[in-house]
Amino acid sequence: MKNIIKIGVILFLFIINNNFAQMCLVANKSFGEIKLTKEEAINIVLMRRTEIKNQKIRLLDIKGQNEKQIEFFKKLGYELTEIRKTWMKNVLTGKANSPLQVSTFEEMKAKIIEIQNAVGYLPKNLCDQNVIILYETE
Amino acid sequence: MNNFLKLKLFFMAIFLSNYLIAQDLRIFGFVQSSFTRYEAKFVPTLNDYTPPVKVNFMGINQLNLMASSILTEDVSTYLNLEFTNNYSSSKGFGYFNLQEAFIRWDLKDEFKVAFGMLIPSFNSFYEIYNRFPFFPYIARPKMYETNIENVVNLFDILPQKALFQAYGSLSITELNKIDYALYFGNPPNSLISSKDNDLLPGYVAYGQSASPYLSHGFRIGFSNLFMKFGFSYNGDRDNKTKFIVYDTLDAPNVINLGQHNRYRLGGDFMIKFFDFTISSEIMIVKTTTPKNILDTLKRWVEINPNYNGRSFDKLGYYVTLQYDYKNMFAFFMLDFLNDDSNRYYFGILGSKGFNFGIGYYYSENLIIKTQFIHNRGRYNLGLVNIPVRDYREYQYQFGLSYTF
Repeated sequence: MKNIIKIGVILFLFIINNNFAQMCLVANKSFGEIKLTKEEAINIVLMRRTEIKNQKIRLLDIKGQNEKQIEFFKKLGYELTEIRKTWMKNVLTGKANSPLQVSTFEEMKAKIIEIQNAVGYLPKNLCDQNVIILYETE
Repeated sequence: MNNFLKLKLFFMAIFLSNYLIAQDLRIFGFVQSSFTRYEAKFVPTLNDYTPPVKVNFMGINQLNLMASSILTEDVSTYLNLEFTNNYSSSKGFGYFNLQEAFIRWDLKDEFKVAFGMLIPSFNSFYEIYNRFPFFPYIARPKMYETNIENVVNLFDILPQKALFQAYGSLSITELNKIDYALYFGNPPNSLISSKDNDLLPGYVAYGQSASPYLSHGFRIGFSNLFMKFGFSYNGDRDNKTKFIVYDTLDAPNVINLGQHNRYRLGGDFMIKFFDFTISSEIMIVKTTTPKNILDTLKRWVEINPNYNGRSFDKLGYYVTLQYDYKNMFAFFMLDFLNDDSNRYYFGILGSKGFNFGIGYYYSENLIIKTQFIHNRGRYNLGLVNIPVRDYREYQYQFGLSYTF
């Protein structure tokens, strides 16, 4: 009986932890149903690809640094600072516009719902039918 | 100030701030400030003509103030103003330049257009050569070190600004892309009318081209997440109508050697492996000079080898190995630049530099940099006592680059 409880607790913690760590690249519903590969997701966050289905992308970012954000970019193979340097390079050379900055994931979700071509990243538990999930981290 | 005027100013301020917000206007920029200990000497050092030099210089190497605004989903504007070397118009320090101002139309990733004034795609570093936060150097590779523009006319070496550029990326696979850019722009500065160079008085406004020629060029390259390489071409005219030559040992003369076609070829590559990055570029500048002029140049070299060169050709390159560890970086760079028509600065063999630097990303916006530079050259000073002497230059630099 004790073993069953232990296994139950471990499974519960595993599921909680997994849910906590899992992040999604999400977009406004105007993009329609679409799933991206990891490579396509990388190209979008690096601004090497600025459109999905011929529709321009407006990237969103959260100011400062938080664990979930760092984890999201790490799972794509990049440090947050590397991503920010790439964005800054594009902005300072006039090649692209800077991502729209928000303060919290809740605000990011609200902006993604509001702005027609918005693309951002959210923890899995905030991804619902109001946004399109483009890519989920493993 | 009367109340009516105050009220007007108040409403104007509200209107302006609302207008800027509506236009999604962003103002940003960066600064690089540094301290340099500079030491130079000729070897052998003789106090006859070439005493050693020891100076310290410091301050703002460069400050760029930029603005961008999004007009529509596809169209945006960009402005880049640059101040160099502790700029002060009243004191005559440094320079103020309208570096770039253009409108960009992003039709697709495969095709974008910029119109206005912009730094063209030539090699890889040129596009970021004046954006200090993106590279580890305090002093850039010689062919891009424009802060010495009162000593070397670097924009006779580098391509001119583009007025129109079409560019984009064509996907081979999702991560592998072919990058391309095509552009045209003004002829070199020597063919642009100015207060000191009024080429067609009464016809051409200062700052405008007084020539039917356009500079033009392209870059084609390959890029993925770990590698980038490309080939560049640029063509323009080399204006030697007011060529300064030391055809006697005492004083220079201005001689008309005509205008000639000139082209630049460039190659660049960058490879990342583990925490290392190797990047390198080469630029070859060739002026198609008639044989009779080349023969004349050779004759003048014999008269005064310290000033006169054998051709108008130029060569520049650099190789950098960079190592990144967390927020720290270290680099070693070998660079070279030679303009044979400017022997007073480049000597008879060109200027070769060995650079080493370490730095630290204190935050996303602040980089602390250090750099040691050892430059070497050889000069024919035309003196009776040991005419050919080696030149040694040492620079110890500390700098900060920060964005705002």
